[in-house]
Order: sequence, then C-alpha cells, then structure tokens
Amino acid sequence: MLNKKRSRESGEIDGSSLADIAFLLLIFFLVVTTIDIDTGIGLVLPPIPDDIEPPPVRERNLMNILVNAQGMVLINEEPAAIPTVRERVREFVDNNGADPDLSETPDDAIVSIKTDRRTPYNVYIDMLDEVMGAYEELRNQASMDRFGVPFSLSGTTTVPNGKRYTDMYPKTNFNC
Amino acid sequence: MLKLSILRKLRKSALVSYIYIGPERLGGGQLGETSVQIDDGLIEEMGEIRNIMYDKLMEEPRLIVSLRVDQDSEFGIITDVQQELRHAGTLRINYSTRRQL
Repeated sequence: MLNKKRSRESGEIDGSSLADIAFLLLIFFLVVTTIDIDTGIGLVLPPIPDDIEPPPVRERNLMNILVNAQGMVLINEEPAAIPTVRERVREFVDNNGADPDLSETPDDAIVSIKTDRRTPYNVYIDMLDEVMGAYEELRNQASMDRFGVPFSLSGTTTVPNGKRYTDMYPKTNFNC
Repeated sequence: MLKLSILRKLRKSALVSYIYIGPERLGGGQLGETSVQIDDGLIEEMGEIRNIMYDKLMEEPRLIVSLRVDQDSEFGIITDVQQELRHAGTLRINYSTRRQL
C-alpha cells in the first residue's frame, strides 16, 4: 500500500522550459560568434621583367624607404619614425611639382620600400599600412573636394575629367 | 564602389589561396624552423611554390594569394615567397592582418 503510493508520486520533469533555454542559447551564440572576415593589405606584385631595362626614374620622383634588421627606418637616407611616414608620403605624392625635391605629379611618384632579410615582418606591415593609408587619405580628400563624400562611400569612381581616383593617385610602390 | 563590391564577392568564393608562413609546430608546444605551407601541404623546397601556384593560376586566373604570416617572422622568407609568386605569375597578393585600424 505504502509502496504503491510512493511510486505514483514521482512525476515527470517539466519540459516546457526546454524551448526557452534552447532559444536563449541560440541567441547567445548568435551574438557571441564572430564571422571571420579576411582583412589585410592588398597589393599587386610587379611582374618579372623580360630583360627590359626599367625606364629611368628621376631622383625627385623616387621616395626611398629602407627598413633595417632592427626595424629602423630611413627615408631618403635620413632616419625617420614610422608614425611620420604617412605625412611624408602624402607630402611627397601630392607635391605636384611645388617643391623641387619632391615628386612632379602623383602619376610619376614612386615609393620604394626596401627591407633587409632580417627585418621583422610586423614592422614591414606597419610601414606598408602607413604608405597605403597615405594613398587612401589622398583619394578620400580628392573625393571630398569634388563630391563631399569619402572615396569609399561615393557611388562613382570617376572624377569629372574621366580619371579615376585610383588613377589620380596610382599606387606604384614596389619592394625588392 | 564597383571595384570594391567585386572584390568582396571574390572573397566569398574560392578565389583566395592561402600561404602560411611561420614556425613549424612540433610536439609538446615547441616551435621549429620557419616554414611555408600552401593550403594543407608543407613546402619542402622554395622552387615548388612556383609550380603549385602556376597550376592554381591556370585553374583560376583571378586568383588572389593571401599571405598569412606569423608576426615574429623575418622578412627574408617572405621575399623568397614573393619572388616565387612573381615567377608563377600570381601577382595579386594580400597580407592578412588581424589588427584593427
């Protein structure tokens, strides 16, 4: 008699909240998950030259950046700090012939980055980031002047004279 | 804008080939020599890269090579890989970074 009563008492576990818990977990993971987006600095390597002499470059159109094994930077034979590189590149590219030591036009401007074999990779990336950032700023500025929107947001890539921003400030840096 | 959206589309599809450069992982959490890995295979000799990448380029002419390099690497090995990529004709590269701007 007593035994029978006790076995009847053990009821089921209430399952109605299971859906709530599952839903909560689902939302939790949706919020927490990061989608792995590839970010990075894209560039195009120069092709292997077919025994053709590279065209002569006037010295004023060439900006030499050297990074040594200790991660120290030389710009045109003078020591420089990495955070100042962006400003230097901007001045150099956007000179338009004003200063006789800097580039004639953005088209002609060449930024050369040379590294030692033992240069730390992260220093090189910081360096490249600065140079690319300088070009990005110049393009944005050109876009702002014409349309009042940044380059990345403007719906068009062409400026009134038919040139693209990317052509106005072509990225012509290479490394050896 | 147009260019950007195209690039973003490319990223989604299988146009990106990864090259990993960094110290080899040995047993017991030890790190070995710096080596190069394309997709799943370790590269024994630098000269192989040229052929592998050339084959990939023939399959997919719009190939983008993403270089995923260990932060503490030295630049010399990357220069070697770049030289090989130039020989292979895969000129569009991307240095993968995780840093916030």
